[in-house]
Amino acid sequence: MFGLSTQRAPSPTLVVPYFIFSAIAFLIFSVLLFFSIPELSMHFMNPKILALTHFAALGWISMIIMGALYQLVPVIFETGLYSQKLGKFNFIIFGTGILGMVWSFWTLHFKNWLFLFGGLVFLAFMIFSFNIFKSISRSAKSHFAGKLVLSAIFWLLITGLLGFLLTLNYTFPFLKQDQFNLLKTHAHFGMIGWLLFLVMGVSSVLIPMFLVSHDLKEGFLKKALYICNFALLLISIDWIVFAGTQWIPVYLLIFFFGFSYFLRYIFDSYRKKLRKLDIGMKHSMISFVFLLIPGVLAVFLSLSGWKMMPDIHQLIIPYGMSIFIGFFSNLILGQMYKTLPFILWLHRYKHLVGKNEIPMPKDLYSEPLAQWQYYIYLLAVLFFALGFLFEMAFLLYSGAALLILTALLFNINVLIIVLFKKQITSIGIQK
Amino acid sequence: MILNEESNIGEIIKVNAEAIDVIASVNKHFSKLKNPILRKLLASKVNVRDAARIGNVKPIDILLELQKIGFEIQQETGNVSDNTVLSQINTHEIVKEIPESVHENIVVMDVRPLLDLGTDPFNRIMKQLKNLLPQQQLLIINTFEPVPLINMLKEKGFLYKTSRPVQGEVHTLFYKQIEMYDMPETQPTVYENNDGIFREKTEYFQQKSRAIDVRDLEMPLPMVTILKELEFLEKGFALLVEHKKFPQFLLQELSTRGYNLVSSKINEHHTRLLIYK
Repeated sequence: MFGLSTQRAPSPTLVVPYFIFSAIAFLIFSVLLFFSIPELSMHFMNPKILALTHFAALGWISMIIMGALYQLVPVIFETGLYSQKLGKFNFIIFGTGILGMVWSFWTLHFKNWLFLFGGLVFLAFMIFSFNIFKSISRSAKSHFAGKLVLSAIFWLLITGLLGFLLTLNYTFPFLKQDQFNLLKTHAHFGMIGWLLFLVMGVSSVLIPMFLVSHDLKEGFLKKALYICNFALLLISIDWIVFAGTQWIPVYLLIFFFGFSYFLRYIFDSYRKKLRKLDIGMKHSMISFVFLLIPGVLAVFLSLSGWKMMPDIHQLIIPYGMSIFIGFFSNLILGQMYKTLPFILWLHRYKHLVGKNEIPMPKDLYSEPLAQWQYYIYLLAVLFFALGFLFEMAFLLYSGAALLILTALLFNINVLIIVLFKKQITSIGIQK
Repeated sequence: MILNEESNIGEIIKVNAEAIDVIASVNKHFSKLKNPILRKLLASKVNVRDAARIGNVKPIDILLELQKIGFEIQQETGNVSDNTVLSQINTHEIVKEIPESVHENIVVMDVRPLLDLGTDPFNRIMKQLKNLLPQQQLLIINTFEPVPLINMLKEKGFLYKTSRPVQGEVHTLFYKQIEMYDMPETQPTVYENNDGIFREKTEYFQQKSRAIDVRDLEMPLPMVTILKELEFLEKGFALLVEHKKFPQFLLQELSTRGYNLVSSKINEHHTRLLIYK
């Protein structure tokens, strides 16, 4: 193949803004969460909770994942990104949409404004999907990691569409279904279909790469891909069409069965690893253990359709938080240390390799700050868990304060990585 | 001596040195002929028609002046006539449209001060051309059309374009055809998963290759190791790499450093690479 494009890594000017936006969004989110502790004991359908959920899901988690995915397209699909310009343009659309949407929720502008900003976010989803689909269409490769990413993008579009219809419904009511069920479906399309499947696809490539583990079973991924997608489809049809039947726990079991294959794949990688876990990988690996919390809560919640169960809707907020803070944030807080330094290292030092003494990606951030961030984060989760368990606001406030501290340390390290360039001289590195 | 448009100025001067003054009187441009260095440079390389172009006059004017000092002129065709229009003189068939992509990166070289000092700018121009990056073009500013230079560079594959933006100032733009830089031999090649070429090249480099295995290294160490090895690789040797996958982010750097790459996939977790200059 002569004339093969060798320019596979996107420019940092495309990827880095996504990371910075996301890091700042995480900090703002944790501050807003601190001031919303009273709302945590209320029903989840209240404006502040909706604002916070969307800020976390979009501004913090989706934003950084999209940025990372631009960088990972060559790794996962073995082809370059279709358009970097489109990616940069989309950053503006998506960022504006998220900020506007969160503001609309927070300030109760459910009519018109929510519709407008929700529309922007949906547009950003479409542009993003188009860019990824166009990139992949040039690639001949199709392994299961790529298919997981593709199914995630499919669910992203469905999530956006349903969310957009819901905002439209506030302006021009037309949906006959129960809002509660639609919102629940929308949330799971987003959390499971988009975020979880994407994380599964991306981490099935990255984790063995970072841990350096060989000969993993692709078959596990294949089973996880088909079974999990099938289960999500069943759950969503049940919710939308039948408003939630007693079969939900069965679908959940099917989902767990499929997901267990993915966990086995990850565990297999962990078992066969040739490298020790560094701080970034410790953070990320513990997040898979933390999945136990939403897993158990999901079982209780799924049984709520059964008549003998007491009303347990107060479990919904801890359930959501265990997914967003316990799992996704955990994973990202760690993976940032594996991706962002590498992206900038590639840009700054690649041309000097072999010619000069150069720093490695791990030299680009402060290791002690990252260690502090990890332990303070674990404490934050512990305080949140205890706070919900004993229904003590003081513990929840402590958890939120610790999460702010986590976000601060995380932001400082992001800034160090982005701003502080090590001076390379012919003699060596100037620290 | 019978003269026509094809007659060489150098030979005319050899026959009759008076011709220098005569030609110089036609146009002040030709006063440069009085400078021995420039005369040596220019006269032997140009004929009457070229000289007319340089001086921006009609060839017949020069021929008529030379007739006055005893040269015979041959006028067998109507070509050498008063009808020769000045504007036609500036039109060269060789000039095609300059491609859009070459409009940037013009290196300007004003040779007038050098000519005024009586220095031959030829070597400096050639040096400048040699240092010209692909896609760059050289603009030479002087008082006459550098016909000898044009003729020589034409043979070397340059295209050119002249213009006279103001009286007494001639701009000559030299540039290469873009295709000349896209020759396959000059650009490093990447063959992804090409077992045929891989076998052929590994056989070729059989005695002259170094093998490394980077599969157990954590990212970005595979890339770092490969690039370091390449820096110490003997000339004419190839590097044989056992890698987990096709190295996406290494490609561009190899290309920049002028290395060719051919890969052969053993299985999902093992790809062999051969890197050579």
